[in-house]
Amino acid sequence: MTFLQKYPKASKVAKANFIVAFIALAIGGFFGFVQALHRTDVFRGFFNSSEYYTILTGHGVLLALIFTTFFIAGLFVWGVTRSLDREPENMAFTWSWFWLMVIGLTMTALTILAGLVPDSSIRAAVLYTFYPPLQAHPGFYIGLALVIIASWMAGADWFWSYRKWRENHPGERIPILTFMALFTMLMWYICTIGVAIEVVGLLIPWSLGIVTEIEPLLPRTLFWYFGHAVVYFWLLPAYYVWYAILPKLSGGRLFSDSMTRIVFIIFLILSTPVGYHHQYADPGISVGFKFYAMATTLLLLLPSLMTLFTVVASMEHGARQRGGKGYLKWIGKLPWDSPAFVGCALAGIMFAAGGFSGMINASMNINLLIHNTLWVPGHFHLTVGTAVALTFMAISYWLIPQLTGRKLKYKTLALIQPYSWFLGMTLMSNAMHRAGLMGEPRRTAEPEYSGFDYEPIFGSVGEMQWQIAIGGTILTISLVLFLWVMIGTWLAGEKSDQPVDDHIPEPLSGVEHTPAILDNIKLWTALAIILVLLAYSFPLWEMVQDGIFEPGALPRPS
Amino acid sequence: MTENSGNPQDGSDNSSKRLVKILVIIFIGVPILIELMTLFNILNVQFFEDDEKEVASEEAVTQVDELAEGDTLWTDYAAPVLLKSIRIKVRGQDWKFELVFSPSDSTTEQDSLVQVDSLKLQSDEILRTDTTFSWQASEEGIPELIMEWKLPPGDIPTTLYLRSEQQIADDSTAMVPREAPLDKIPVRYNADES
Repeated sequence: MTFLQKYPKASKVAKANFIVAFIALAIGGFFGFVQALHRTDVFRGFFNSSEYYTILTGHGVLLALIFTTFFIAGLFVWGVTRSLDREPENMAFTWSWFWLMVIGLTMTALTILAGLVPDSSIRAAVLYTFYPPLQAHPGFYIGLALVIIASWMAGADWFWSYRKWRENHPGERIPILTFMALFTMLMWYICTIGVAIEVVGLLIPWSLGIVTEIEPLLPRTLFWYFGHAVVYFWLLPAYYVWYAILPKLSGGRLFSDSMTRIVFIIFLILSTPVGYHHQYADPGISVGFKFYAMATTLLLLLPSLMTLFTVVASMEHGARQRGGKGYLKWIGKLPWDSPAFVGCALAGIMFAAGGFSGMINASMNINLLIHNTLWVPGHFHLTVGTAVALTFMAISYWLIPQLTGRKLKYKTLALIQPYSWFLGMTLMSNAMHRAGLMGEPRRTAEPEYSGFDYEPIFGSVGEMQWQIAIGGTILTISLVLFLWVMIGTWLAGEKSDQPVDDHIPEPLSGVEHTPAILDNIKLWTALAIILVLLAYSFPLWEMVQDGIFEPGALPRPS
Repeated sequence: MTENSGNPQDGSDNSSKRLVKILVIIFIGVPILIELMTLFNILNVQFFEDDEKEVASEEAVTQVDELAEGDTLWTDYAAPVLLKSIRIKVRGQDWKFELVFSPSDSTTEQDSLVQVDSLKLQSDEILRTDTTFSWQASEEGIPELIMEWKLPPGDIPTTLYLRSEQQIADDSTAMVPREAPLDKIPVRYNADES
């Protein structure tokens, strides 16, 4: 029996979320393609440079905020429903958060796209890191506020299911698929407080003209309170897939249930109190607070290294089940002809590279070498752009058949897609990192200057620009392949009662070896809140003391 | 082609194996090669080429003194000339290059004359001018020569050709030429015309 047959209501909601996610992916991906050609001066005919920020905002918001949020919602609807073996408690409530998200998304997207309409007074060219001094139309901020509120409702929906399940299963351990979803949402609740205050308390009144003066430091700080944790909101669902499903795709079992839970707990605790590492260059924040953020950021390497170990161990187990032997030869026995496996595996490999460039970003002094350069997008195209996006695309090859009751169509194209994404992203990101090292700025439509020549460490500027353009083009082709396979499968895939092998075996070291304290939601949430208060209360108090609510006050006490 | 199961591959599916081989060689092999080449080049520059570049740039500095704001020309002569200001002013598509000269020593008792012959641009175009500037020691105040050229948009001056009348022996004077390469020139956008 497929997921569709067992849980038809949840299937419908999950599919609705995936449809919206894929539409956002298509539009946002196209914007990325034209951007890559524009800033490299390969082709500047799609739009004027004055529209670059609109295109860039569309690319960032549609991919980093809309595609991710909707996909995660669909993934968690699937995971919570399956692991608790119950449909959502109240479909009216479930559909209400979905439609509220869609309304919010539509408002936000329309304000962004209106910037491309000649003589339009509606603009939202504020980039996906939205804070002053750039100001958007109020509809942009209101739309995003609705998306965030709806996401809170989605989380509440899954907690509701958990509470109802708990009533019937007292004393049982939280199923791992639900555990990971709940802890991801707990982290989301904590981190969205900052951006909610920023948007509702500061940006909406400012954009409506109710407030005429705004000090950028506070909205920036509130945004970045949210802005680092949001990358873990994207990443943890990818870990969700790597922990829960990738071992099975490899032919094996998850190495350790307790390691999985520990990793998610560490992310809950540490994701938010690190936001100042995005503000190393901001005045008005004492260097001591930045140093504290740096220290906690470097601690975040720990759960990722633990994940590296656990996931690779799980994959090795699967390879050896398939006949793999030797120290490294077992790698060849992994299912490199399975699109879902390949996408997840290559996403994980690329994430390691992104993690290492992240260490540079996290380190306060050397961060200044690459601050605001093209190195930064080079980094996050490896992490969110591949580790997250490619994992989401890959697991769609396994999930969509379950939700539609149809077998995957165009399997050859589906297999080529993750491989081509890996090549395209390597080309593009490699050149972006190198361009960043020579000082080429990010968020710039035409990064050429009169009377100034960049000095690449090696190679030429022209060669780097072409590498970015070619990499971006390959990524676009890969994206088209993915969308083609999805549309083909959804509309014309062969119907089947068992379109995929959806059985997930129990972990090698199961929940019986996992300390019960790991399931203590209240304890870990309290600890997370304490760390956030420690990280942010003193710096925010310092800002208030320095006169942040007094327009025209000196930036530092005289 | 297996989609998602843990079952072993069908050994007879040769086309599938061939496809996977091609995909792995091209789409994983090429990225690995690119990253290895990047690593090699960075290490090469860091450990072997860096010293050579530093030596070359040091030599370049000692060989050519580029003229910048605040520099003095003809310092070995009796009437050195100060480059008081050097600017490019941009307003829309209008690019103007401005130079301001004055005597280096405002208390000098030496009369002098400065003639600017031409200006060479980045595009190798030569802009000519026959502007001559002279001052006499008896003049009050600090005399200034302000010169302006209209530039092709985006074309930056690189070399200045000028001469100055300087005392060379007892009572004789001569026009002493200078070919002065220019350092980076500040560019001011929408600067108010003064």
